[in-house]
Amino acid sequence: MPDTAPPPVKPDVAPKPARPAPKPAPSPFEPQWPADRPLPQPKGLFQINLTGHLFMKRRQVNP
Amino acid sequence: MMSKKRIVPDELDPATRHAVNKRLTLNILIQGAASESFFDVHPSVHYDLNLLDKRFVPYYRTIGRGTNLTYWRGLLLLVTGRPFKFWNSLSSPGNVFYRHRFLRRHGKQLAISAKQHVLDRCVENGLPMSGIQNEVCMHALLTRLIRLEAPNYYFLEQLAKRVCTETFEIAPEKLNASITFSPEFGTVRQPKTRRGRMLLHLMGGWSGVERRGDELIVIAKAIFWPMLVHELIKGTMELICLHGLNDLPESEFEKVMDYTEHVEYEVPMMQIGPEIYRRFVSVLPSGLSLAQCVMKIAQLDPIDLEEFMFEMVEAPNRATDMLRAI
Repeated sequence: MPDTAPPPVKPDVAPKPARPAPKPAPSPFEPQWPADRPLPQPKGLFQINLTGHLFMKRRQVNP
Repeated sequence: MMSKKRIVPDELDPATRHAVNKRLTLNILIQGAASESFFDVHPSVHYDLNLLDKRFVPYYRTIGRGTNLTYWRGLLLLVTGRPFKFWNSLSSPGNVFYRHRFLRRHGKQLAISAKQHVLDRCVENGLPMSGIQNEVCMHALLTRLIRLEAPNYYFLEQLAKRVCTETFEIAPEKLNASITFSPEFGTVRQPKTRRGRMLLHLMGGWSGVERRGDELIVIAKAIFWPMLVHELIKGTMELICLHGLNDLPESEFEKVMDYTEHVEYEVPMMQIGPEIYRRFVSVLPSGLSLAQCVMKIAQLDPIDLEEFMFEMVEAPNRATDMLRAI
């Protein structure tokens, strides 16, 4: 057998602590919202046209 | 003699101004996503709509496109004002977007593109280009639709929820949708202008986020189906964009709301929003869902969001890289 140098001995190092598991990505639909903070006001959409609006108003009165 | 430009000092401190601009940008994107849904009927519900009545899909397509035209032409402008009077005055201190750098630079050009897109889609459908003719056409169609929809409200509400679920991958339990002739709910700031007060009476749909127990859910109410889809998309976008508001300090949050949440602002946002939303969708990287991308930009620092918006218009590839890197 060839006269080879013994393999280097690894220094006795304490194993690294395991990395904490990465935080799960937040869900887009579960925002953290402070309980005491009001939510933004609702957003509206205009009636499609003025005559349509008058029609709807009449319908509300006489369904 | 050289004309001197009047410099108007900002009443807000820079940090609050940036937060205000960020919320305005997100509001435009919210309104844009909703208005874009008006242009067509989501393919996933064609089959079911046809089972209910074969006239629904063509009627909805026509009414959606005609509705987008009313933001640019027609009697509604008597209330909302002439669109390009607004978009030509972006560098005037009285314009609400005067201090929004992105809109000051690109707003007018985006408005021109947005209007052209609406006109092109109306031509595809053979719709009249005149505002008055469109008004008459929409009125006749609406009358027929109301009768067709009346016996099918429950199914139509479920189909509207399905469109929203497929667009965002949101659980249907988080959506509360109803077709009703009284769509108002929640508390809305009283408009300070006469135009705002008139607009408030013209609303045919409302949406927002409400707390139910520990959960935040989307509420959407509208007078007919395409508007209900519009409201569901808008409410879901609002829910996701809360990610960008929840870390503001209390006093700043109230100020931002005071400066951004007004019915008057919704008119220009609906005009330009779909164009901005289409550009946003065109830069989305593969492998990320729409909802994740909206959340990512909602969480950006205001200056970074502004940079993203500039890149989205001026160098779309770089905007995609930015989204991938966040």
